[in-house]
Amino acid sequence: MSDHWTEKLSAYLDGELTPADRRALERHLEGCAACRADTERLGRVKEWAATYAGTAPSPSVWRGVRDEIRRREGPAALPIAARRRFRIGTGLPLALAASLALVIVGVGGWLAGRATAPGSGLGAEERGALGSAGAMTIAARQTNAALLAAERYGAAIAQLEQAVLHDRSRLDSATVRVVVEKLGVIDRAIAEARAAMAQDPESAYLAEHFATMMRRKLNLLRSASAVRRS
Amino acid sequence: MLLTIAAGAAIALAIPQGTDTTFAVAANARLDLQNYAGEIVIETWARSEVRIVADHSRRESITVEQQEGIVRVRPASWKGGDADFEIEIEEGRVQWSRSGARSPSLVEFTVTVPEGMPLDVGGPFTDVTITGPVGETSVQSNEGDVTLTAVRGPLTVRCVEGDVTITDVQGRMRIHAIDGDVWIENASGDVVAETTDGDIHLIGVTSSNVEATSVDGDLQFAGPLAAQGLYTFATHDGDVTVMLPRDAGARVMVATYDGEVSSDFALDMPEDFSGRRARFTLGDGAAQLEIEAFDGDIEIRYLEN
Repeated sequence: MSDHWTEKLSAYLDGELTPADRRALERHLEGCAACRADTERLGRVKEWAATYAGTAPSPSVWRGVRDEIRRREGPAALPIAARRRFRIGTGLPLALAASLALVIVGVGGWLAGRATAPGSGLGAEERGALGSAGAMTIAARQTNAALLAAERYGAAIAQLEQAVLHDRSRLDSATVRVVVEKLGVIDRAIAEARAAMAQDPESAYLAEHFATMMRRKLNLLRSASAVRRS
Repeated sequence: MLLTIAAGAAIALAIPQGTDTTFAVAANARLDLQNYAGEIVIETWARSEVRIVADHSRRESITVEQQEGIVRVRPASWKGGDADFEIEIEEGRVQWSRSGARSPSLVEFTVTVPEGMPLDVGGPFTDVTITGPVGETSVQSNEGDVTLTAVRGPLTVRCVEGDVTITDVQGRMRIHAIDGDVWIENASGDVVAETTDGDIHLIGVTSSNVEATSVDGDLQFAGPLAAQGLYTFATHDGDVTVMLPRDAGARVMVATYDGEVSSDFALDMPEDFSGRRARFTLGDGAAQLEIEAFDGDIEIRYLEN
């Protein structure tokens, strides 16, 4: 690689070289791995710059993210065990029951119609278990609190996905690929945590781990959103 | 020669290609350096000046703007900045033009800044290397490695794809990676390190507040525990290894769903705690240590010299 060729790469990608220069550069690229790598990198930069300029991207890469997420979250991908009912005792203290009811009402709109899917919080049966909760051990209360936290994270995840859906994208395709891949990593973790909870529904640790994975998904979306804004 | 232009935010100074310029900065000035692609290398010196050396093609130039205590440095092809016009001053000839719509190019920055200068640096396809006692530092990169050495002051690193390596650092550290490993070695100060897909290594870290989390990756910590300190290590799919001095004192909680716990310390562990937590106390129990590995093993080892 030499400065002579490097200086021509941007003009080459912009189609500004003379035909003779373009042919000469292409011959050089055939034998120079370093220049080929720089050309590839510059190509990605050019792609990114096109979206960064604020021009209306079509289609939105965030719509691509959403579609990919939905594709991966199809009901068929759920383990059967994940739909099992949670068993929680009876005799919930009044104050706690009231606060639970308020929280459940608060997220009720979001809960309606939500499938039991990785990243989307709890299913109807699990919500039913929460609503009929009675007297609980400390572990059961921890479990309940974690599940409710997971619900809130799920609601925030849904809102953030909606928010970015209608926004202009400023992420390059390589970043979108990474974000989608890592959302997949977290979704697998969420599915595994959910399956573990189904096996051991009284484990406060598993419920809290499930909530933690939901929070990680929310944080990843927030990080991606921050990159986009910057 | 760098000239001062005070015509508002829409005007910037363009330095001809082959950039090598040095200029004075205010004592509390912050450097805001954003690159498209290439590399940013920052070093420090004991002068109240900033030196910018940049390698780039003849098509590219570098803009420098000082305003309200912020030194903004950009490739001239940067379209997301404030500059709508470029003024070129070369050998007494002055030209102005609107920013072009050409593709950005690779730029290799080497910048020397006053010790203690706060930094806000990064770029979409940019490796960032900072060495020396800079001030509060924020680094953001979509694709590229971040290497910080001998830095003083609070650090925030946001990295989508790339490894983060921090060595010989003092001050609060907040590392948010998505796809990449995090290495922190010989450091002191509160640490928050998270990655979605990658390992986290905290070696020789002296801190009273450490939080390291990954979804798919191993975690490793080696260092002393401060009395009343809080240490949290959690991963979904990976192993956690914590190496502590033999006289370490902590209330310890370990949790795993599908993993094993082993320890050099004498622990009174239940035979089976799959899906559950176990708690025990080391020494005087002064610190709090929480270790979770959903699908991975937990090891608590002696920290040997």
